[in-house]
Amino acid sequence: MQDPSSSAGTQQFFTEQIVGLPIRITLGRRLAKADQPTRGVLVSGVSGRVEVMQLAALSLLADDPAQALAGRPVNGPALLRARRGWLIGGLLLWSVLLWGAFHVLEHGFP
Amino acid sequence: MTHWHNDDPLDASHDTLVIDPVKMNIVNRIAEGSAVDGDLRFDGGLLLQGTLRGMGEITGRLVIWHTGQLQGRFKVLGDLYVLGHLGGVADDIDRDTLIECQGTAYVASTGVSTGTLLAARLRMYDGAVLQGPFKTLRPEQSVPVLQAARNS
Repeated sequence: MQDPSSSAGTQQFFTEQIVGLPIRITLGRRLAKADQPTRGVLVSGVSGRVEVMQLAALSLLADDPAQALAGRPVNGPALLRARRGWLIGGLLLWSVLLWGAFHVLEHGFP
Repeated sequence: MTHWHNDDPLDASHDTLVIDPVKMNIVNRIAEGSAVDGDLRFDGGLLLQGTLRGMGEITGRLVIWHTGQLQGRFKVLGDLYVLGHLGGVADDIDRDTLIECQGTAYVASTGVSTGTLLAARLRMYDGAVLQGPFKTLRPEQSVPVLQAARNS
């Protein structure tokens, strides 16, 4: 618990006590596209893949992953898959770099 | 009535949102059963579980909870999450409600909007009801909602 005597601590204390603790809610299934022909409004949604990849990278790199995801609706399973993808991709890249470095050290530059 | 389609296999499961009042700087709350009316200004986000009517400005994120209802003319300087009612419940279209959102407006599957919604971006979820008009708000086209209301 924060020290209520400090200003930031007081703010956090009352926010937690009055507004509440973190809660997870379900927003629903994201719409890929929507149309409203009678009013002439067309809203095209994105697949969300790019956004999920960005959020996964942000949450992996951020000091506070919860802060990086705060207020951003996300598809949980997709986020996990994206994180796994980044980790596997990073591992592969690191392996290739290592292999390249050893190759250069052993055989010199081509 | 709006018709919605979903044909993206990525969206097989639902989106979730973690509402962390501390991290999202939502420092204000109108509890369920409470009704606030008037010319109001909230510095910091607002969790609306009761009823808010009138006009004003919310500097931060606004979460309209499942039990919440917002009516009137408000400017939201942040993202808007609609899980409850935006505009009148009984009306098909609430012409007295006009919300200007400078960020992204998320209308959840439980959300109902009968008022006019102006937002930089809109994200709808399956089951959301958008009965009132929606207009895209470009940064250079920020509509002076409050100014117009105050001058009238």
